[in-house]
Amino acid sequence: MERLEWGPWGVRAFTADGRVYPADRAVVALPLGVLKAEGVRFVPELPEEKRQAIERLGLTDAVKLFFRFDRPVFPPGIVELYAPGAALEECWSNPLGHSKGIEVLTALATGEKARALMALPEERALREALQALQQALGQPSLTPSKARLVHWRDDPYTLGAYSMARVGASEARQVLAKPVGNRLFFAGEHTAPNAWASTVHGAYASGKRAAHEAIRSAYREAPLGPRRGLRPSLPPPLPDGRPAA
Amino acid sequence: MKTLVIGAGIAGLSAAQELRKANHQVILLEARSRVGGRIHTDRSFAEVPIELGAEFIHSSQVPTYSLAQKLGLRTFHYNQHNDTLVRLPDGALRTIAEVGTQKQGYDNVRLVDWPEVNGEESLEAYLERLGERPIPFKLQEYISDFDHPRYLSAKAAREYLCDPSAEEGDYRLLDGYD
Ligand SMILES: Cc1cc2nc3c(=O)[nH]c(=O)nc-3n(C[C@H](O)[C@H](O)[C@H](O)COP(=O)(O)OP(=O)(O)OC[C@H]3O[C@@H](n4cnc5c(N)ncnc54)[C@H](O)[C@@H]3O)c2cc1C
Ligand SMILES: Cc1cc2nc3c(=O)[nH]c(=O)nc-3n(C[C@H](O)[C@H](O)[C@H](O)COP(=O)(O)OP(=O)(O)OC[C@H]3O[C@@H](n4cnc5c(N)ncnc54)[C@H](O)[C@@H]3O)c2cc1C
Repeated sequence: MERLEWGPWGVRAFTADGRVYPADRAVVALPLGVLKAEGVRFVPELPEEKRQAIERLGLTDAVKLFFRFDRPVFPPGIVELYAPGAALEECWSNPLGHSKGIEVLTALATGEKARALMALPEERALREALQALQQALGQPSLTPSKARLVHWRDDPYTLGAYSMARVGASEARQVLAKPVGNRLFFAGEHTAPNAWASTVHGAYASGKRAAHEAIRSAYREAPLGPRRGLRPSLPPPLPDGRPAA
Repeated sequence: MKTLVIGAGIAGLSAAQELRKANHQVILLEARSRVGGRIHTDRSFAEVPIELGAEFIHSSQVPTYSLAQKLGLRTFHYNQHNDTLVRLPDGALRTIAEVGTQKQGYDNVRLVDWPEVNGEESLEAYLERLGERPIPFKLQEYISDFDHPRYLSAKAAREYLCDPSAEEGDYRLLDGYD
């Protein structure tokens, strides 16, 4: 979807291949990265307060690295290593590997460390990360049979790993969660309260919250609801002159 | 009643499900050829699935944990106590359980006794203001999951740590988050 028009008459989504989807309301569950990059245009644009919150709330730089080894790496009973201050701070085992006689370790780098890794060609980033892992574990000759890294910064439909409450942004998620004009309702990890944001459970709960807001709003405007007959004006004609759906 | 849902990540999917229950006609628009967004399990890298995006359920007190239980999904609990090593400044590797007994407060999850934050100060400034005080593992993890404390809002971090759902440990969905 490229453009979302909204007004008292309802909403209308326009896709890149020219299709138009009219409806009464929309739940916007796009990632913060896409909102920041204005990957979707709102017409008219979102209220100032919302646009400022989109800008203020941070996005974490995160890189996930995967290493497959032909034999176990951690001592028995250990599944995770936390090395504060090291070049790779967190790494954990995929416990299912143990039953297969192999090891799959996943490491997460964020902040400066992630930015440094993302600036390197992939092969070098993997080599440097491996060194960091060898150091953190105190196993300098540790060699993986396979390695891979992912980050979500360049993925056009994500554009960043997850939201981050930067200094000065402790209220931003609350603002991002607010409905607009009884037409637009907002979901996504970045609309969850600070305690739950940046997670799957936060995103899941935000979807339910936004849906309930939309359901209540629909009920208030329903022909037999408390504010009967409120159903407003017609949508503007489509840009190419076709009649509004 | 017709409602668009834009984005078929977990947030859009849970919204669509609720709207359907309320008899809304739902149109779900997704840019990719798959649903799930930042939940993306890969089964080609190794003999076991890896998670390119989300990997853990961070607490047994959140709705996705009950959902996984209801759906009968196999989980593995990382207790982050005696199954997790911490690298000490001298390079020694110790379990959190061992460090916890040495350094009081290291395995304190909820920071219940931590003072209020001054307005919009950074986590770095807040920690400095508090002076010498062990930083619990859960807060260290928060820092490692985001960025340097100088960039982070202390108020938001404290809200995270004081939440009733905050607990030690993580659950992994053994057969994939998707
Ligand atoms: C590396 C990494 C590790 C993580 N680890 C964990 C973890 O262990 N535990 C945890 O709880 N959380 C974790 N998270 C966070 C978690 O993955 C997210 O918070 C959650 O999945 C976000 O869900 P969402 O529905 O808000 O967004 P998304 O899943 O991003 O969904 C948004 C959807 O919108 C679609 N979209 C984008 N642009 C358009 C467009 N123009 N038109 C239509 N559709 C569009 C996208 O394709 C996507 O499907 C991790 C995230 C990352 C990146
Ligand atoms: C078992 C164990 C216990 C620890 N207990 C403590 C403790 O009680 N108090 C403590 O401050 N650190 C503790 N650490 C964290 C470790 O000492 C950090 O690497 C160190 O605080 C980073 O400071 P720096 O000046 O080298 O780095 P800088 O990056 O210059 O740090 C600047 C400030 O940010 C904070 N900081 C940076 N990285 C971290 C991090 N990963 N976790 C927490 N704070 C960070 C520091 O408090 C410091 O004041 C512990 C580590 C281990 C392994």
